[in-house]
Amino acid sequence: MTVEKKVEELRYLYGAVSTKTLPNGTILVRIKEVQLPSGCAPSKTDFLIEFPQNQDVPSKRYVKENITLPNGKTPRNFTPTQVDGEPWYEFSFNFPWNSQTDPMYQYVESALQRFAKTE
Amino acid sequence: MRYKDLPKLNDRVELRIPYREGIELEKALFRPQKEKVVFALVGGAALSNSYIMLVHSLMPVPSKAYLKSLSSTAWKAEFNAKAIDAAAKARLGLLILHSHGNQYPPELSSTDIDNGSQLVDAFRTAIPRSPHGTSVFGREGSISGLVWKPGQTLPTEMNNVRWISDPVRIIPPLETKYRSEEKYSSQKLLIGEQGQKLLKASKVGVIGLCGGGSHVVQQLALLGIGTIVAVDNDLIEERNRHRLIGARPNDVKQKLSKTAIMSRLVKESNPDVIFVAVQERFPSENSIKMLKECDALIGCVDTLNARKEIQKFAWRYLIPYVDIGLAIVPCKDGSFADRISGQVYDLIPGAACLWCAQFLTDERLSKESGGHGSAYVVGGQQAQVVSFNGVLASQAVTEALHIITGFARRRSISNALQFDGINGTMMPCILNRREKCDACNDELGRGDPIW
Repeated sequence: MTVEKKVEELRYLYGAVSTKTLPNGTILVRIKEVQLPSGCAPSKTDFLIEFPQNQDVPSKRYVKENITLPNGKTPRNFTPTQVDGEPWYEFSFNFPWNSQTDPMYQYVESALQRFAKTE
Repeated sequence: MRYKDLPKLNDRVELRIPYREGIELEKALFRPQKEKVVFALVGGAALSNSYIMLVHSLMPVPSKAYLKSLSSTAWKAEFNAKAIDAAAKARLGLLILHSHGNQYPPELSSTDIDNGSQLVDAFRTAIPRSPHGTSVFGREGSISGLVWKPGQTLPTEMNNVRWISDPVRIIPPLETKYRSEEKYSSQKLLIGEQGQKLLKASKVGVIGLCGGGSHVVQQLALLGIGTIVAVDNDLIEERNRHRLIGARPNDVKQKLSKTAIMSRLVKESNPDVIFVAVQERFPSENSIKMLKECDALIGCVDTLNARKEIQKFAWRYLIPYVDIGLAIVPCKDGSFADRISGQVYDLIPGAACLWCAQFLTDERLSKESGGHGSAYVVGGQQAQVVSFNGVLASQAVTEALHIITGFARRRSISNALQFDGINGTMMPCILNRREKCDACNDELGRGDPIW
C-alpha cells in the first residue's frame, strides 16, 4: 500500500490529517489532536509519522505535547527533537504491527498505548 | 512607480546571509563591470518584533541567460521558471538580488520595482507559503528591498542586512538605549565604545547551565551583554553544586532550578542585564521561540544528541554557535587522569558545521544512545572539575565577544580549539565546509517550518 493510500485511510478516521514532502524525499504525516490514554495530561496531542523516501513503513513517530503519564511522571526515553524545524517529542515503543496486513490507524493507536504504561 | 510612493508595511525586515553564500554574492554582484543578478532561495522567520529572511542557497543568472538591452538588465524567462521550480521543490521562497555599486543608501529604481513586482507576483502564485522579494545592495554591503511575507499582499521594506561571518556584520548596526559607563572603561580599551554598544544591543543564548554554562552566564553578564537567554530544565543537585558558579549550599535543600540560580547570579553581577530563563529542555517550543531571537548561541551540553539539535537550530536561523565540551577520563583506580580533553567550536552558519567537522556522525550518535534512536538517553555520572569547565567557558565567551564586536583580526572562519587538560594547551585547527554535507544542505537558512 502506498503512503498516499495510508494517508487516505488516516484521513477517513481522524479527519484533520496533513502531509508534506521534504526536499530529501521524507514524507511527514500529521494527525491533529489524537486522544491520549485516560489519565494523561494533556488529554490530546498532535501525532507525527515519518516515512523515509520511497518507503511505506514509518521509521519514526512523534507527539507534539510534553506528556505527563497517569502516574504524574514523564515517560522514559521521551526526547524533544526538531523535525523540519518544528519541536516534537520522539518516543520509543515496541508493538506488533505488520505494514502489509495491519491498518494504519492501528499503528497510531498502538503507539499511543505507550502513554498508558506507567513505568 | 517610484520607491517612496509605493504602499508598504513598516515592520523591520532583515536579510541574513550565511558565510559562504556571502562570499559568493560579493564575487557575483560587487565586482563585475555590468550589473548582474542573483536569485536567492530563502526561508523566513517571524521574531517578536521583526521578520527575517534567510538565504539558503544562491542561483546566479548565468551569463548566457542575459538579454541584450540598453536600458536595463534583462534575462530569459526560462531562468525564472527554473528558479521557481527549484524553490518550490525545496519549499523555499525567492529573493532577487542585484547591486547598485557605491550607492548609499541603496534604492530600488522604478524599473527594479516594476519588473521585480511582476516577477514576485509569479513567485507568490507558485509558492504562496514562502516569503519573496526583490532587493539591491549598496556601499559596504548595505541593502534596500521589498519583501512580501507569506499571505501579505502589500510588501514590507527591507533595510537591514546581517552578513554572517566572524565577526558578524549587521548593517545598520543594532540600536539600543545606551549610556557610557565607567565600569566598562578597561574593557572599552579593547572593544571601543562601539563594541560596548554592540554588546548592550545583543542577545546571547546559553543552552546548558552547569559547569560550563554557569561560567558563561556570569562572564556574559560582566561583559554587559544586553540580554541573556538561558535554557536548562534541571534542578541543582548536591553532586553538581561543586561546579555550578553562583550556587549556595542551601540551594539544594530548596530544590532551586539552575535557571533560578543563574537569574540571581546575573542580578548580583550586573543588574543592567536582562535575563530570560527558560526552564525547559531544548528544543522545546518555548526554548526555540526565545532562542531564535538571539544573535549568538553558546552550547554547554553533555551529549552529542543535544549538540545535534542545537546545530540544526543554529543553521536554520543562521545564528553563530559556539560549542564547548569536556571529557575527563580517570584511570581505573582514580589516582590520575588518563585523558582530559575538550573542545571549543566556533561555528559560523555557512561555514563548517559539527557534521562537516565529523564531530557529529551517525555512528557516534548511535553509540551514545546505545544503538537505539535518539529517544534513548544512555546516562551516567562522568568526571567533571570546575577549573577545566572554566577554561573552556572563558574561551567560548571570548569567541562570542569576537563574533559580536570583531575585536581581533583573524585569518580563518570556523575554528576548533582542541583542549588538552593534562598539558594545559589549546591547539587550533581549521574546519572546512564539506560540499556534500546533508546537515548544511538541508537546514541552512530554512527558518520557520511551513506546512
